[in-house]
Formats: sequence, structure tokens, C-alpha cells
Amino acid sequence: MTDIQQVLPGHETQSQEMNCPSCHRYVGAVTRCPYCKAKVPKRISLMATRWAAILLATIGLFLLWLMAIHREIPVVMLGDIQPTMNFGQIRVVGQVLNDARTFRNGSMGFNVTDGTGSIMVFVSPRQALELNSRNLVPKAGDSINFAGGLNVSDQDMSMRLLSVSELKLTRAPVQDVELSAIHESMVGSGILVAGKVVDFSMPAPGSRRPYALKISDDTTERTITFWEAEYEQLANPDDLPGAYIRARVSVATYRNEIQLTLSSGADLEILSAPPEKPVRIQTPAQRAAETHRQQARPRDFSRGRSPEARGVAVSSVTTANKGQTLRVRGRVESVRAPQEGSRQPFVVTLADDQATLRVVYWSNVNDVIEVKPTPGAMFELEGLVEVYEDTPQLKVESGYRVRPVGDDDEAPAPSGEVPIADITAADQGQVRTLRGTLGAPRSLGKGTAYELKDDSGSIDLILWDSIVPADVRAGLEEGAEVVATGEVGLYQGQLQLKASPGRSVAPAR
Amino acid sequence: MSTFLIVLISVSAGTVLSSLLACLPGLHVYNVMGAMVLGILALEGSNWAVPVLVYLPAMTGMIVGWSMLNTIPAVLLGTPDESAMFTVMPGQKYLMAGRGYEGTMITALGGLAGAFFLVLVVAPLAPRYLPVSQEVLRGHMHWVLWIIITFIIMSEWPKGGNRGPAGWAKFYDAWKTLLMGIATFLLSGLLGFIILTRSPVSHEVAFQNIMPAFVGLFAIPWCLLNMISAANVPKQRITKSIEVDGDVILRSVWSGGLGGGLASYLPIVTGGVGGLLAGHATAQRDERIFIMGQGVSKFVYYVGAFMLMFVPGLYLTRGGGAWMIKTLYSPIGVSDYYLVLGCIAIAAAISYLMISPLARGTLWLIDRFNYRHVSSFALIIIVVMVLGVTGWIGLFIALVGTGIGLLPVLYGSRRLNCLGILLLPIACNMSGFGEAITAWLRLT
Repeated sequence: MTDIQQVLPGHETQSQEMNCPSCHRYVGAVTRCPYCKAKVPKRISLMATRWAAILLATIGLFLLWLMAIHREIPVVMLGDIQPTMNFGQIRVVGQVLNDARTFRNGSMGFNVTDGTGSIMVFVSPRQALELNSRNLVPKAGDSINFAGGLNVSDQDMSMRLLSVSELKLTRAPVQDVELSAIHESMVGSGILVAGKVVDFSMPAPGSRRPYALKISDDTTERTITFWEAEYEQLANPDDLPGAYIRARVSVATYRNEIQLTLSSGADLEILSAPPEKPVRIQTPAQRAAETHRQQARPRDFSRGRSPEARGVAVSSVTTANKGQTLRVRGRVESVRAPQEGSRQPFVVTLADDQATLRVVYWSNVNDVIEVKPTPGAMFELEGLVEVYEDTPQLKVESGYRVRPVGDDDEAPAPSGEVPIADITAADQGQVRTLRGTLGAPRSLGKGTAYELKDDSGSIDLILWDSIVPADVRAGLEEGAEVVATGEVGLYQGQLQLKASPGRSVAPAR
Repeated sequence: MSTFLIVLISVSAGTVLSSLLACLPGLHVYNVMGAMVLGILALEGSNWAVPVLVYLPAMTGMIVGWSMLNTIPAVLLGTPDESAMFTVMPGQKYLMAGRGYEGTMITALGGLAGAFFLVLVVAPLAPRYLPVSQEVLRGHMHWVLWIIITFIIMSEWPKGGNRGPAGWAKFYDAWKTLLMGIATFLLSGLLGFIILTRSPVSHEVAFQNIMPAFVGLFAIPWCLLNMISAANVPKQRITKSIEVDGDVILRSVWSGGLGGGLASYLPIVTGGVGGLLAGHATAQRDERIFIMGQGVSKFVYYVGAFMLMFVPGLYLTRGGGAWMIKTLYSPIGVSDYYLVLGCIAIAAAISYLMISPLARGTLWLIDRFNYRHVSSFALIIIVVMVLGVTGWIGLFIALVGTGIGLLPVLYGSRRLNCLGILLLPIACNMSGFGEAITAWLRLT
């Protein structure tokens, strides 16, 4: 102890912070020495660190919450989903493949495609109630934009709807059809039917049969089926027998018979008077759709107007084609709608492996397009080549000259049929078309595997239930010769062909 | 090379790798596995694609090795993960008495007993009984979770308020740890709602979106605490025998197997929670049973949860390891089950044999290097890993998690309360009102 250090009696071992570090006099609890004015450092109270931790936790949480609620959920193409995105929240813009089904626990499910793939979307019971109350239950053909949480495993993927308030649904136009006009080409689509209820049978308690509502118009009788969940949504079910009704139903087949199914009680309306004959055609777009449905052969784009233009690839369009009318096929990269109130055109970016092409058209053209271009989908567009900012641009002048190609029927295989032996590990991730004979089916739980053989070799053909429609799968059997299109994959060291969405597997002609 | 050899080499390599990693305090095997999954997916489709017979045994070995060897930092470095929280106090008693090596070996013996219990007792019975029990319990999990949450909160006891005149000051002194425990549970629950509903982490690495929060809640606070308050470790004795007998081993397997089993089978319930429940249920007083039981519990929790994914007829995905594997591979049939059981047995044997040299090596390191430096090094690795996988936003989440994770450390409440991050949102979702809460929080 120095001479100048002053220590109170009995406090010889007191902390150094009680003395001034400069003049060494006893200063007590003050932070500045009253004698030499030097700063006296003090220990930080543990209480202060505790409050600091609480502050850090609450401020940080608040900032995270702010970030979470203001964050734009990214739009992801279904074909780009990777296993590392499991549990992630993404936004999907696409088209509903089938009417939403209500499950026994009140939850709901529907399939969505965006042209690059399809996915099953699950809706919780609470969200299902909200969808019903807002008349937002997805129906086949509706355009949908929603955010959801991903669940990805190595074999399948699904989504959970994140929020009903963020779901945007644009209803597909529904055709008003006479009962006698319903035919098999309508399977999978939604229609509007009307008639008088001639019989209404409820399932016996404990039975697994659906409710059956038989309706009749002047010439034909049809039965609409639905389940308990839809029955409970009906406004006045007791008034049904003998009443005139109008309903939005889906056309399906059951045991090779056409069946009409009601997917929501809100889709059934009891009329006060006999329904009028359907007004068949209302808009040019509906007229186009009607023509398309009634033609068994592939759609004729010319419609007697002008001959179909020369078809070229995106990369073939150059400024030298200025003034020419060309039909260009490519994958839609993006679609930009004009801002409300502006005089801008719709801008679609079309791409192939080597180039992109800007395609523009006005709102009146867009109104006529039956199936709107969506990112990721293959489309064929016909228009006049112009030059915009030194690059070629296609100006579409008729909505009838815009059509989807690809998954269902008209798109050719990306690279033609190849022998099975030509498929190697290097083809992984590529789409290939194979022709061969099916071996015995093997169940995969949520799908089926067949051995596909040709003269050169064999490969496993995988058909996931969520991707390939049931009627396509039902039409396949051992020994059948088929043409299958799908993505080449590798599983446990073995190559396999994963069938593409839609009618990717068909009997060989 | 034959399949047998490929599997043997892969499982051995995975075990050795994770055994070495396990000696680093605060580093979780799931963080490393997450990075590996990213690598495997990146290589898919290339000439360097990793076959399933390589990565599946290797990852099994990693989980087994880590669950066995994680005892070393838990006992010798005082940096347990939350599932080992109960080993800290008795384990540190051993350490401060110069018996850290013995404490480590007792816990490891528990892990070995857990391996025997899993492979020889649980594995033959699981395919027959677990699918049935899963079917029965499926609709009841939500109330089971609420009871567990209630038990966690209610079983925390006041640590003050014993002296002084009655009044608000005494009441606050008694309740401050309890209140802070509840606050920790609620704050971490809120963090869980945000991350599980609308995670700020990029959707491209969403499978790791909970990782930064876990690192912040559990790993970083312990590293910081060690850096700030590390005590001098007394000279440690290396012994050739440990003070246990058959009775202690059997009673440890009973309590630890129950705790680990509950944790591995029930959703969201972790080893720490399972240990808490089993500890109260079996009421074992002996300190040795306590330490060894935690070895059993930890092994059964981590490895058992992973094993459930392969049980024929069950295929239950529980625990981070199983969820990560699921992004790469879905098990099929009994052959995968036998493969994983074989890998567990081999990896358990290898990792048990490695624990003695690695424990000696760690003691040598503690003797030679500053204890704080080891924790600082671990903290750097953790931060780099979070930054590398989830970017700056992940680091921010870890920072928020650290703020919450420091509360129980600073106020002396249970760190187990941090598990509110999963327990609260999942229990609410299972009970059907999670969406109401997320809507109220404007997350949906």
C-alpha cells in the first residue's frame, strides 16, 4: 500500500475500483475522482448484462418479425424444386389440375401445375372453411397464385397452403352444357348443368356410398354425386327433391360411366323456376374453347382465316426476319401483364436452349387467348417479327395464334424416340422418349414401376400417382407396347425413366 | 469392391470423422451433416455422384459416433448440447474432483449399453409393435405434448426467496428464475412461429432454416459462458477401472432407455426433455446411474430416432438426422433395416474404442492450451458454418437466438425452456389453433 492511498480501516482488501487509478485516493462509488478529476473505471453489473440479453432477444425478435411479414415469398417453378428446399416457403403461379377434394377430417387437397411440374397442395380444415366461405375453393382449370410450405422427400413432394389471404384465384370460364351434350371429351373439366331433381338418395348410416342427386332436363337424366362434406355445405338440402337446380360439376368417369361430381355445396343453386336453355357461346374465348373441345383431331389454328405460318425455333428468329409472320415455339420464361391503367402491352419472354425472344400483344388479344401463357410452359405463338431496341420482337395479333404445347398431346418428344440402350448416366435430368414393352408392375406405395424393354435393353419406368393421371395408369398392363416420355433419373445405381406429368405414357400406335 | 466392404469402410470413416468432430465443443453433428447433404446434392448427376451405399452408412456412423463421443466436451469442457444438460452438474463434479476421465468413461459405457439395448432389445420388437402403437397414438400426440410442456414449466423450482422479510422483494427473488424460464419459453416459441411459418432464410437452403436458431439458443451461449467464466481445471487422473457394476448398468439402461426412447419416439421431444421425464419417473438417486443413464438416453435418443426411419412398416421420421437423410433417400424393406442396424453396431463399437484415446487427448489439450481458446475456436467454427450455409440472415437469427439462449444462463433457469422454439408452435399446430396465432402475428 502506498503512502498516498487512503483506505478505510477494515477495508484493506477492498476492490481497486474504490481508489482513483491516477492519484490512488479513496473515491468510493463515484466514476470521476473528486481530487484529480480522473475517470474511475467500474465493473459492469451482472444485472446490466441480463437486461442487455433481454433487450437483444426482444429487439431481435421484433426485427425478425418485421422482416418475416414484409418479405416477398419467392416464386419458384415446380420443376426447379430441390430437396434442399424442404420446409421452405415458396410461391407458385399455375393452373389447378383438378377440383379440390375435401377429406374426412375437413382438410382439402388439390393438384397444381405450372407447366414445369405438378404438386399436391394440402389445405388445413380451418383454411378449407375459409376458402369455402370466400368461394375460393380451387376448381380444375382455374389460374392460381399462392404461397405454401414445401415438403420434399427423395420420391415425392407436396405443399401446405400458407395463407388463404395470399391466395389469388382466377376462375376458368365454365361451359353451360345440356345434359345430353355431356360426352367423354369433357372428362377432367368443369361444366355448368341445370335440370329438375328427380331423385335424391342419401347413403345409409355407416355406408361408404356417396350422396346421389339425379337430375333431368327434357331428354336426358344424369346423376350428380357428392359426399357428406359437400352435403353439409348445401343451403337447403331438404328442398332438393323436385326442385330445379343449377350446379357447377366436374366430369369424371367411374367404371367406364360418365359421372358428375359436386366439389362444393356452394356450387349448387336451387332455382325458383325451370332453367333456361344454356346460352352456349358468350365470348370469343368461350367460342374458341368450345370449338377446341368438340374437335377430336388436334386443333386447327388457321380456322379458315389464314394459312399457318412457317414454324421456327426461338433462336432462329433474327432481325433479318423483320416483317415476316412466323410461328415460334419455346418455353415461357416470364409473363408481364400491363399495369392497371397503363397502355403497355403484355410482354412474354419465350426461350429455347440458345436464345430468348420478346413477344408482345395487347389486352384485346389476351382476352381471346384460351390458355394463357404461364412461366415454364411450352407455348407456340404466331405473329409479326418487328425490331425493338435492335433485337427481334414478335408481335402477336390474334389470340387464336397462341397455344400451349407440351405435356398433353401435341408436343413432340424433345429429341425423338431413342433406344433404351442409348440412355446413360449422362442423360440424367434430361427428358427422353422411349418405346418398349411393359413388364410386370411393381407397387412403390405412391406409384408404380414397370420394366420397359425394347430390343436394345430395359429400364424402370416410374409412374407416380400424383403426377400421372389415374386413367393413364389404368390403361397400362403387362405386355403392352407403349411410348413413354419422362425424365431420366438414377436410383440406387440403376437408371430409370420418371414419367412426365400428364399423358406422358400412351399405347404405341 | 464388394458391397460389404464399401459399407464397412463408409461406416468406419463416418464414425471416425464424427468422433473427432464431437470433441469440439458446441459443434453439432447435424450442422456438419447438413453441409454434407448440400455437397451430395450438388454432386448428384455428375461423375462424382455419391452412391447411397456410401453416404447412408457414413451418416449412420456420424450420428452414432457423435452421440457417443459428444460426452467428451459435455464432461471435460462443460459445453453440453441441450440433451446432455443433466450430465453437466454431476459430470463437472467429477471433473473438479480430478475424475473427469472416469466420468467420461462412465457416460460412454452408458452409450455402449444403449447400443446393446437398441440393437438387441428394441430392434427385434420394433417392426412388430411400433407400427401398432403409432396407429393408436397418432390422434393423441397434441395433448401429450401439452402435458410435457406443462411439466417442463411447472417442474422448475424457485432458486431464491428463502431469506428476508415477506413482501414483493422476496416474492420477486423467488420467482425471477421461474418468470425468466417462462419468458424464455415464450420468446423462443415466438421465434419458432416466425421461422417455421415464414422463415427469413433463403428457400434454397430451407432444410437448414432451424439450424441458426438452435446454434444461437444452445451452442453460442455456452461458448460465450466458457470464454467468460472458465474455471481452472484441476489435474486429472487416468484410471484403469470405473466404479460401476451390473446393477448400476441395468438401472441406467432402465432410466436412460426410457428417457431416450420417449424422446426418440414422440415428435419434437428431445433428449433433454426425455431425460427430465425419465429422471422423475424412475427417481434414481445414485450419481453414477444419473451419469450413465444420460449416456444411454443420449444414444437411444439420437440413434433410436434415426433408426425409426428404417423400421419396416413404420418409417417414422424423427430427429434432424432422419429429416436430412429423407431428402436424399427413402428406406425400403428389411434390407435397409438390417443395413442400418449393422452400421449402428459397428459404429458403436468403433466409437467406444475411440473414446479413451480421445478423452486422454482432450485432457492433454486442456492441460496444454487455455480452456477459453478451445471455446473461442469452437465459436469461430460455428459462426463460419452458420454464415456459410444460411448467410448473413442466418447469422442474424443466430444472434437473436443467442439473446434468448443467454437468458436461462444469466438468470439460472433451465436451458430446456429454449425448446419452446419447436414445442410451442408444433403443439399449437397439432391442436388446431396454430393458424390463429400466426394470423394474429400477421405471418399468414
